[in-house]
Amino acid sequence: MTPIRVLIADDHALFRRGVASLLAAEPDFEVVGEAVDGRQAVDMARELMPDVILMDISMPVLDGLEATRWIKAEIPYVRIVILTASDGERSLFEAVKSGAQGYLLKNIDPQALYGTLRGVVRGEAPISRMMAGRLLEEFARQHREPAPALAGELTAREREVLEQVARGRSNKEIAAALAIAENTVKNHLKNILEKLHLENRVQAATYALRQGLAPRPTEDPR
Amino acid sequence: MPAWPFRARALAREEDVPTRSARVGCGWYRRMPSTRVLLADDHALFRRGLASLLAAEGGFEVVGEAVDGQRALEMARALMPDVILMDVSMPVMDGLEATRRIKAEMPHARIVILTVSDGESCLFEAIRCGAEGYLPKRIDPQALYATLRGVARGEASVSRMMATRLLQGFARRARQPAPASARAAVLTAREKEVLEHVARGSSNEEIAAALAIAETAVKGHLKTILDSLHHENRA
Repeated sequence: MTPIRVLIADDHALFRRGVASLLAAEPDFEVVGEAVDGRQAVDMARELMPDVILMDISMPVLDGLEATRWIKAEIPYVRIVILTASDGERSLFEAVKSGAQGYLLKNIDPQALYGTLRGVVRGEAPISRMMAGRLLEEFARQHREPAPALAGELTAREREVLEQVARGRSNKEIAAALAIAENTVKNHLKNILEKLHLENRVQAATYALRQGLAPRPTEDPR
Repeated sequence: MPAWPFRARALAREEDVPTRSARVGCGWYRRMPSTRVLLADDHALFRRGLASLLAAEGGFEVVGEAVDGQRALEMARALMPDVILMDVSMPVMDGLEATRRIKAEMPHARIVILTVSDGESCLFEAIRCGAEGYLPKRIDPQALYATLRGVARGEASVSRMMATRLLQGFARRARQPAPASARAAVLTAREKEVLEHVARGSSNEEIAAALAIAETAVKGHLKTILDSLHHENRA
């Protein structure tokens, strides 16, 4: 099996080296580079073409959100997971807008990090209920503009899938809940993204919450 | 040469602690028993990462990992580690309270505070609680290893940042005199000079030359400064 090639961008050497050391000990990850700021992350992403970038937000020279925007504009295939000490709504919202596929807090345990990285590389971007709740609050504060009638183009089954996505379920869980194959879920999701002109499932979940297509998640202590 | 009772060293800068040179002829390290380290940090990813780095470095053995101050206290009792690397902000019992209790119960335990906070008041409080070292989490791994090795040898590891904050703390105290009953530590003129040199980034050797004193005397001054704060808390 080809290992997942990871680029780590964090200005805190001890944390960055520690995460690199942990990932190196896992057989299915290879740390291809370590960047100490956003500028270097952009350069190294171009040069190394990693599968996934683990990106801190607060960094000198160029912050992680700005770096994410640059990288996604230039190398859209690269998956970016934000790993930050901040659980502020602002940065979560900005991270989603910048094109990141995942958002993790630095207080997670290593297994959760591995799981997210593996999922993101498979094309999943599982969002936690906490994240969904925060996104909803953020959107609630935004001025409410008339919603585009795009959701009307979704089939009943697609709406069901979207609702499940907004609840933070994985493809596997959705497949089980709707009694369909996991590949079918993936295809539904592709169609949903296409119809809504969205790039990833976090954006889809956000859209669903904003449009009231999914119930507001209750706060999860996780 | 008679053993000088005080051994201390100044780290010129957090970033440029000698690393390669410290490991040259590492047969010495191989013969030495590993430094047994207890980690206390509630952030699993950071703590596990640190454990992984220390395990790979050699010369260190991570004997335990505590997720809060209370666990740190219990594990310190059970494991008797050489050095405890202690976060400050933790649930149940914070790292400063845990430091105070561990030092009261096991005065031989050596504790290095590793925290995101580099504020003067936190550092001052940490030293008063009995910590032998104080490091910001943004340091690089080599500086951490050097500090752990020094502290395990019984040295007071005063970094440039720490010296700066100590000077600020003592200056603040001078402006706001404590009640006459309190036994507040004060800096002698020579100790202040030594700290000022460390804060400017000078090595112990450079400080010794500048002040025309022995290098062991520089180390002694640094140790005395920390000891005076340690004892202040027990008064």
